[in-house]
Amino acid sequence: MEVFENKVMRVEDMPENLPFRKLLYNWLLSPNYSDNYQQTVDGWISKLIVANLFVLLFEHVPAIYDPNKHWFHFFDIFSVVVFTVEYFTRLYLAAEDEEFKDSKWPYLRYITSPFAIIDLVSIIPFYLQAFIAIDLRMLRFLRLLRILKLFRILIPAYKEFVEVNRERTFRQKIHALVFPSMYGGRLQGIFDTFIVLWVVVSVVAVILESVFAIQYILHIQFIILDVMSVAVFTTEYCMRIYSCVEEPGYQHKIIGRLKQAKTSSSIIDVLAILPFFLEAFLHHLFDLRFLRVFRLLRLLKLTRYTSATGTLTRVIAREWPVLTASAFVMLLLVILTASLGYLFEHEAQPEKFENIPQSIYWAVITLASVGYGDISPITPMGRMMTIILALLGIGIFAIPAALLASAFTDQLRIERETLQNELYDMLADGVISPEEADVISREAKRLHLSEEEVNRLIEKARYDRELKDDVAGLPLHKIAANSQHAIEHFKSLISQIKQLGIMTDRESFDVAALENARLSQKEFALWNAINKM
Amino acid sequence: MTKINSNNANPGRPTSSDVFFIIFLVCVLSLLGWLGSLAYKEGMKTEVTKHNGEAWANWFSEVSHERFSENYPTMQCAGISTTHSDIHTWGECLTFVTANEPTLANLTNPFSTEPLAFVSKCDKEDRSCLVQ
Repeated sequence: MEVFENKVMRVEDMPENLPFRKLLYNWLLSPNYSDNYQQTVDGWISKLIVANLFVLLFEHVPAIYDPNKHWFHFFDIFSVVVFTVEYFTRLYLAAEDEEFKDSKWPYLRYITSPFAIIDLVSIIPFYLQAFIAIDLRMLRFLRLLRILKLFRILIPAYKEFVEVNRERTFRQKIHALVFPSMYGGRLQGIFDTFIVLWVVVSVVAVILESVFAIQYILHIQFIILDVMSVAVFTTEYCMRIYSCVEEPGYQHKIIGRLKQAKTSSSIIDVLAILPFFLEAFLHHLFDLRFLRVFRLLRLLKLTRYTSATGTLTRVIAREWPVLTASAFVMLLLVILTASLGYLFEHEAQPEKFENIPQSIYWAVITLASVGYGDISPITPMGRMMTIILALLGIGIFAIPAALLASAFTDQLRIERETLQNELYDMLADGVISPEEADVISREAKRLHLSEEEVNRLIEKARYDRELKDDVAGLPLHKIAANSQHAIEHFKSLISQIKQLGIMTDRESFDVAALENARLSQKEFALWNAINKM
Repeated sequence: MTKINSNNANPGRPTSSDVFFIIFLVCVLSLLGWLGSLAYKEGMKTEVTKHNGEAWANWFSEVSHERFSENYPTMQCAGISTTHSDIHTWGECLTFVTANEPTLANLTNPFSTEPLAFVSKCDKEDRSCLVQ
């Protein structure tokens, strides 16, 4: 059974004797094949469109545009070439497109369709400027229209979202848009991508703003970008708090929303926008420009879209006692090293090994194998002690890293086995319902499992389930005919005997079994052997 | 995944809480727009100041080329190309330069957006010197 059931066919199921145009359409543009290049093509075109938007913004900054004019021109040529190839490819394949192929004039129908007009508008100014003198500002405005090409992806996703959420309330629709659910569809994925893009752009802007040369040129642009980022994140936060009551466990209007506001992801969302509001409202009282660097906390918003931090948290919680023990040993080693360093080096270097707390800095830098070199021993005893303790420190300080790496791998294995067990339970009724498919899809995404791996796990779970069920219903001679079934049946019988041994009163059983030779000696010995396993 | 809490009593019309949320969101975005405009105005003060500084720096660079040549004649108002007999003071020279140089004539005060006004001294205690 396919979990991801957006498409029906696979490319390998395509007939071999198709005409070239049909074959090309199925490979590149057909939405009916699950593993063709349609999503890849759409994805790369979308990335190029967004890149064009950024390039257009940078062209308005003379300090960036003037020295790199030829690179901007090359990028524009590259974009026009790609969009031209895309336009003519779509035109050529219009006769195979389900939207146009039934028309009397499919090519004309395609040329006059809105998306084709947008595609043409995105490339025609480049060619026209060779013949007609077009004002540079008009040219840039026409290039800005390339952003409309994104509607080729947005509009179908929006229509799918509206269709799926037709009978749902406004709040439920907001919930479907911001929280992962079976009602989100592609639009929810686009929304997540949009937020991730803004997080990355705003964090890069904060980092570049610290470079004086860039901040001098792009000061106003950074201000506008920051305001837009705060607007996007504030809107997202409000939508999450408003619609969280649709989640189980958060149904109460006030308590549910407070509970949502106390979650770590919501706190991070608030911290992402707080510096802006604090500086805006309190700049008259305090100099809060230092808060701008806390905008880098927006990077933590990305933890919502990956399960790695959750897994790491579980690993640390599980290994906490061992980590604490290793931290204690490290602390002892640091204090010992610092004390010995002070003892041996204080007289020779009183300004560097002034006291033990200062020596602790040197001890940590040495034991962690960092070795800045600002403080180093010069006496023979100090150096000898450093050699011994540095070698010791490599091993001691590496323990937490090895522990975490091993525990991380182990945690991933546990979570995959948990999914395996869940699949086994889901297949008790023989089918996977849409809700169960959604759970599987979400867990697969969280555990970074590919579609093939998930399908393999489902097949294994189904096979184990069928094996168990089959064995229970079959007559004995049929079980005996299949060695796998025979093994499962044998294991099942052993398990039942052991259960009987636990549940029954052993003393009475032993007496009754041996009385009047109800069980032979061998049978009784076998009974005891099984119960001792 | 979470099971969705269905409450589809009347899915077509927005409820009062929906309307309240939309109004709240509009208010928040309006507030953000206002704060953004304030931040933009503050940023433009820096931009105007930068523009003023760059204009003066460029003008000084342009007119200073000849000053280091030999036999350079000291003029009453060395920043202009021709001598004027009616310019005798630094203030008059400055007024003439800023009025007649295109790059300097359009400079504005970033705080008041009015043309630049040069004063004899800058004294925080005496605000009258700001009015020429």
